[in-house]
Amino acid sequence: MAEVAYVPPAWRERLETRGLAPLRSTGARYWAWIGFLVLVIAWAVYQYATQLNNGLIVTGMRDRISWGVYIISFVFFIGISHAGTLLSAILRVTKARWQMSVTRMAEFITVVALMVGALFPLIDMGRVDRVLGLLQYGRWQSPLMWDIFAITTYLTGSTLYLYLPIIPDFALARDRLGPTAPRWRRVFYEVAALGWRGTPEQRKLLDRAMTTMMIVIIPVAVSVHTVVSWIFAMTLRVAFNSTVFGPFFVAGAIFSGIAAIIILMAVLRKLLHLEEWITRTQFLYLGYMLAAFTLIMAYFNLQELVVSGYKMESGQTFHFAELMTGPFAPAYIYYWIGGMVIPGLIMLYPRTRTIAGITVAAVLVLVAMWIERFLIVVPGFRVPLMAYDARNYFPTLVEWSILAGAVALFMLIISVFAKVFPIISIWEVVEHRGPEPGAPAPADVRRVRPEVRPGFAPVATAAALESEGVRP
Amino acid sequence: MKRVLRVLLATLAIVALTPAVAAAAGPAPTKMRIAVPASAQLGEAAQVQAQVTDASGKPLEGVLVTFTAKLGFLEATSNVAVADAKTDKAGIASTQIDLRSEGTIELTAVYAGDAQHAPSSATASMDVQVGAQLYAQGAGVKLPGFNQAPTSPGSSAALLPGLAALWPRFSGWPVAVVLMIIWSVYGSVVVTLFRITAASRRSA
Repeated sequence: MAEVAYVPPAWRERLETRGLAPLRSTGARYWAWIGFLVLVIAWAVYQYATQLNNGLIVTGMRDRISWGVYIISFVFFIGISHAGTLLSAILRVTKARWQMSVTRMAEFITVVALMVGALFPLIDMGRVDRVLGLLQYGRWQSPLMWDIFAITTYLTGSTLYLYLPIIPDFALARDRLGPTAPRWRRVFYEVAALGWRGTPEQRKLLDRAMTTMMIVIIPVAVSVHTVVSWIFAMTLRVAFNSTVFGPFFVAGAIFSGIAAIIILMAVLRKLLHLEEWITRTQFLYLGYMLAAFTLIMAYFNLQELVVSGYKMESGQTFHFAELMTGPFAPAYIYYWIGGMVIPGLIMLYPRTRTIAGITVAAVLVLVAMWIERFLIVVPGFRVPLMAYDARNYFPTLVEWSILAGAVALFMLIISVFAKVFPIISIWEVVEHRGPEPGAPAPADVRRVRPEVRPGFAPVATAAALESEGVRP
Repeated sequence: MKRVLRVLLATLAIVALTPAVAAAAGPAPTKMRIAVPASAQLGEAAQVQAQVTDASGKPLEGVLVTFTAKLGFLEATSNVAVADAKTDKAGIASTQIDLRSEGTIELTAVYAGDAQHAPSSATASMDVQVGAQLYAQGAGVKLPGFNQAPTSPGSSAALLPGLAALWPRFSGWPVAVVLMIIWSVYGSVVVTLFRITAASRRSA
């Protein structure tokens, strides 16, 4: 029998009210925000139409540097998609209770980032009408084909993994929103809840499905970014000649993913007034993970520098000179200082280890990780393969606009999700975590083992306690 | 008597000076002959022979013969040493040359000469024809289904003719097997969702 937390009814009531509040009402500021995002996306669509009309010549990409912002952003978004499902699954498997209030956000990030990231290869194709040719004529031996299947598999698995823990919360929304809610909402929650009543049989089935998915999704997530790295490592370019690109990319993905979760947590906590349930604890633990990954990333970077620098083949000399003293030096220095040193120092000192400090560290990391992907792609392609001068690449307005549109689309989908899905996994917080220490509950009854695992009715936990002669 | 003495001295002088005169005239000329196949297949090794003899046709044993080929890269063309071998008792140097480019190949056998023998060389042409792919696709690591041309004999398309008819390019079955396992798990989870709905009806 699972161990559950004692939950004061008033605390639970507050959690349910606050967790469902975004689903009940929508203010003018929300619609203004949505309007702004739609405008940015519309501008990006216009620029994309320009690209479709004139071809990829409107971008900064040419034959010598044929990958640019699109592929960089593809890797970036696929990277941050690791945040959710992978972290959520690992933390669920290890029964880390502190993360229960942020798992939903993390899983949102995964699904949305994958949806947005998967658009970039299509945009990069130029002739998007030929996309079916990839499947019709593609070769199984190509990492590009592996990538299509890996991302499709991961997106499907992540969507399932997002949906499973929402089912009890959909049921809560169905039961609690009442007849004043719009009809489409009532119908949607009725259907999406799958008739959830919290019966022991349903709980057992849901537990089994979640356990299966959390185990399967971990290797799938790792394989996705490994395959993304192979697109580079299996290309005959001096800068990509590495056997550690797989784990390097996976580590970078988790690193940027943690940063994305922290930023989203900070924003939604403030906007949706979730301060009671998303506390310094979540920021602190995720901040510790971020700090650990600064060291892992530094290790991988040093390993690349030392091994390649020791042999120093001719192309590598050019590549290193470009990164360290050439045109990419400012970005490279920022990547090290802003992406690894400063976030590490922020987490090192207790005075800066605050919610604001950790959020700043996360922003620095997220920017640094986009730059890192830029530094992999563009300087890598600048190394001449034959006796010609290295070519330059700088993104055009079309590319920047489409990138801005993708970021806006990411935010738009998250904003819409936050209005349709309970942003906190209410039932998991209630059952597995309970109130933060210091909440009004006697210490000796904080953890109990009830005979019957509580259902989802608000009084079930209290009833179970009372049946054991314990009163809160 | 004086006359006899003069003749004798002159004879001795001629005998003594002959080698020096001969040395001043240079090393003895040599002859080189080369034998190559008229045609060969790209990727095969061609047997090439060269014979070194002196002017009278006597074989020179134990001398080094270098074989060069006229090769070009972009706009530059040069004779590149591709093999070397020492001559046997018959004055024949034999070697094998890997043929790495198609078309007419011009091979030259070169004897550099020494103090007694003058250098010599001979050239012959060979027609190299394309019969098969030159380089293997594999890099040493053999994974079933990978590193194969879509219609190669070892591919699953050849093993399963029926499948090949349906999907001629299908040779990545290991990827397909992994995907099928994962998607089967997804399928079982979807079935569980239906069971959750059914459980609700039963409890009602």
